[in-house]
Amino acid sequence: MSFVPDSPEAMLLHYRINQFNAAYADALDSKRFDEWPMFFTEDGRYTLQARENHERKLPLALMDLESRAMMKDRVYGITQTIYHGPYYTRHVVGHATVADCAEGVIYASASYAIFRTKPGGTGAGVSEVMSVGRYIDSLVQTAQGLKLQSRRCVYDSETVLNCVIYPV
Amino acid sequence: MTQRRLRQANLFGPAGFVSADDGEVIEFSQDGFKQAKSGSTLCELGGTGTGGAEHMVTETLIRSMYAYWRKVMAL
Repeated sequence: MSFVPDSPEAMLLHYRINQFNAAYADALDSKRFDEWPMFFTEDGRYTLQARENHERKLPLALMDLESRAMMKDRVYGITQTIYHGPYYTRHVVGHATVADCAEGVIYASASYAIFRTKPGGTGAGVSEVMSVGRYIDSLVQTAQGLKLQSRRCVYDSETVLNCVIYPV
Repeated sequence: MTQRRLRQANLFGPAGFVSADDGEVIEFSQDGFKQAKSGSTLCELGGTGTGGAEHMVTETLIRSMYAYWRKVMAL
């Protein structure tokens, strides 16, 4: 699959990735966490990393999950074991940019902003900017549609609002 | 070894599998402490004793550790 900018195929691809990102955001914002690992391939990778480390090519990340199984583990933590103040997230994901397609892999990115609202908490339900950054993705087309081979969430925000419980 | 350390890093930090809830609980505690206008709060979780407990909502383990330490140090 070659990538010709502005071709009908490129437009369709952008459309599909935008739909994919919207579905991803909807699953998280609706707290359907069980669906989250299914946006990835079986050996997919999920990384949540500070921009500072990303740009210096340093590996340390807040979350670095190497398979769908590790993601399921995380979902178990979110829903069963990690004691936390509940919050809503609202993802606003920008238009996807496709950088390249090579050997069946689509390299794309999209900016995101996530707002956090803690209902009934001491913050009186005020919505805050939780994280702002960029998804840097490798996607593959499978029989079940597009899947992430890798999603690297690189956040600009230099302060974490105490904790990140749910995936970005 | 780097790979091993990076895997372990999933456990710690603000998004850590085992430490994120510590951060959350500390935030809850701070919200509670804010009510004391004097600026200082003492929270004796489970009282001041060193006995056993049927639950984990107590600092008896830490108090017992220091009680033993005082004994060993002959304080």
